[in-house]
Amino acid sequence: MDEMAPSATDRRWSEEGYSRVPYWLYTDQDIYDREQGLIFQGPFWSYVALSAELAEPGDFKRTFIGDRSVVIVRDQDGEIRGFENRCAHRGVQFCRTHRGTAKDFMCPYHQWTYDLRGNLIGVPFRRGVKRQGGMPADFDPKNHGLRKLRTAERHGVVFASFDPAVPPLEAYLGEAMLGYFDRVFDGRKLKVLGYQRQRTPANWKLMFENIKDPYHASLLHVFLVTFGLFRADNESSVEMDATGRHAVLVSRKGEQKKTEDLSDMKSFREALQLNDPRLLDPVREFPGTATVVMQTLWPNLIVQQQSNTLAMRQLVTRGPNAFDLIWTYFAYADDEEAMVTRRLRQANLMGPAGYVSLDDSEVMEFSQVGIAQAPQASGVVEMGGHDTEDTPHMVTESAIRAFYKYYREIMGV
Amino acid sequence: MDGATQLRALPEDLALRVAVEDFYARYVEIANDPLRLEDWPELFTEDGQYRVLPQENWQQGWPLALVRAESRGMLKDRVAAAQGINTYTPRVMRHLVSNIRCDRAGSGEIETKANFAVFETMIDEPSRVFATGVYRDRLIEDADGLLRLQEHVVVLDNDLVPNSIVYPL
Repeated sequence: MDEMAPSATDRRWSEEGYSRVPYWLYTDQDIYDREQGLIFQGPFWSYVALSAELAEPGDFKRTFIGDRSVVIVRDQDGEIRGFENRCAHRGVQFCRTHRGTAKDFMCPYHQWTYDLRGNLIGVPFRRGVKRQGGMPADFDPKNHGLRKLRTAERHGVVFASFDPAVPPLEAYLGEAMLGYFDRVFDGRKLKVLGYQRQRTPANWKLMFENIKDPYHASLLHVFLVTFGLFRADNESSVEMDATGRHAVLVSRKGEQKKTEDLSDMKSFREALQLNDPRLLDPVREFPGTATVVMQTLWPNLIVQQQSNTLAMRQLVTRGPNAFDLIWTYFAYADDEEAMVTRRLRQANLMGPAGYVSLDDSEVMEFSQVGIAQAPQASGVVEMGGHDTEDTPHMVTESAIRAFYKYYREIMGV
Repeated sequence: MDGATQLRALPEDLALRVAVEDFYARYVEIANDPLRLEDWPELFTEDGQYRVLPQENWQQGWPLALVRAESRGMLKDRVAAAQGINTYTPRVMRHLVSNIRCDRAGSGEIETKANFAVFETMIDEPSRVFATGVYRDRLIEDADGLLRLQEHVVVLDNDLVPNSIVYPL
């Protein structure tokens, strides 16, 4: 046994509970492996697609749940199906393109063929050649289909789960989260504008925490603070579902002006002006007063509504020390051209080159390298107290605490 | 054979190619030098367009870019981001541009296509390939006689970006 690896007894959570986060959570391979089993293959709904990506029967998309490659496809009856991208014969990852249209899926190695529901429908030489060889008489293709996923769709958003025991999607999200979800996904048809993909050298949980952490937004992000897009003195709230696994950060845009609370916000630049203000030309389009709602849905989705830029941010784990973020930007199918242009311009705030998001992906790398130095130390998550309740302000880390409270129940750590 | 090399066409073609190659040499010098970043928008026309596209968006015709600027003003805003708005690990970027092709289009524009590779070097790490791809650009001779980018479309070979795009591509 590797003496340098922390043993199970070393992996103790601080007695302060979920207002501490031990650093071995972010670097330990064993924890990562257990997360794959208990979380990403557990009874939870992972985001996998927008149904607009699968418009016609046979349209498919290759994506990930945790680090497992899966294929999501619309079958001949128009139903959305999903299965693991791994041939039942010898384990070949048979689908090697982001998307396409197929009548069936054939593994290139020995040409085992599956229908759009993942059932095995073809095995070459099954009966042998010239009465020689072939599969045994008791070989039943029904027992050798692809590993199938449960799928659920709500208002154009598709989720999947490896676990047949997953509860209904609406119950899983809970009433409060469903309300915010339906605010953006109100049943209107969606249109994909394109994708961004990035690999960040940090543990996946740091990304999830980042969107449950309104404390940093007023400090790290010059752009948000200066232009009043998301700031501690704006009207804001942090809300969670009953379990604490899902959350929203809600806020209302303020003005670019000084207030007494700004003395702590060193990132505020009163003189900063955009050379081309067309970049920030938001229009109100959702009911209510919120201008930004960032929703984290356990275990792999961030729904981004910042002004008029809308995106699904899908987390793909890549070992304990890296994750990919796949951003699917969308519009509504009935948007006017000017609105689509506005969304495309505001996309400059987000993604690998985002005026805002770039700060996050860089700081998460700083976090990972710092955390890796001291697996036995812990992060302090006490802003706003020790509890996990909703707050009518953003000067809190309560949603991070709620996340870890739930995480500990699921992981048994 | 259309587009094949012809010796007799060289003299006029040569002047164009020298000018265009000189332009890209200057582009790279400025893009790679943090102290000259403010000169970068000047390599574009006032309404110059700049887009960085992942391979898949380019292939599928999706309009979303990784970086999208529609004016010299938006390019200046990008410079401001690299010079104090954004937080990032300091890095050295190195562009290599080659296989430059140029053609005069009807409207006085010069259409160019070039391969590029961009390397990135950060603290504690050896250099790595950051991106490879193709420039699909339109240059014009501006009012002051200088060549400028009317459109600089950076089509990446990769879809997956190594974390962050801080500097011009």
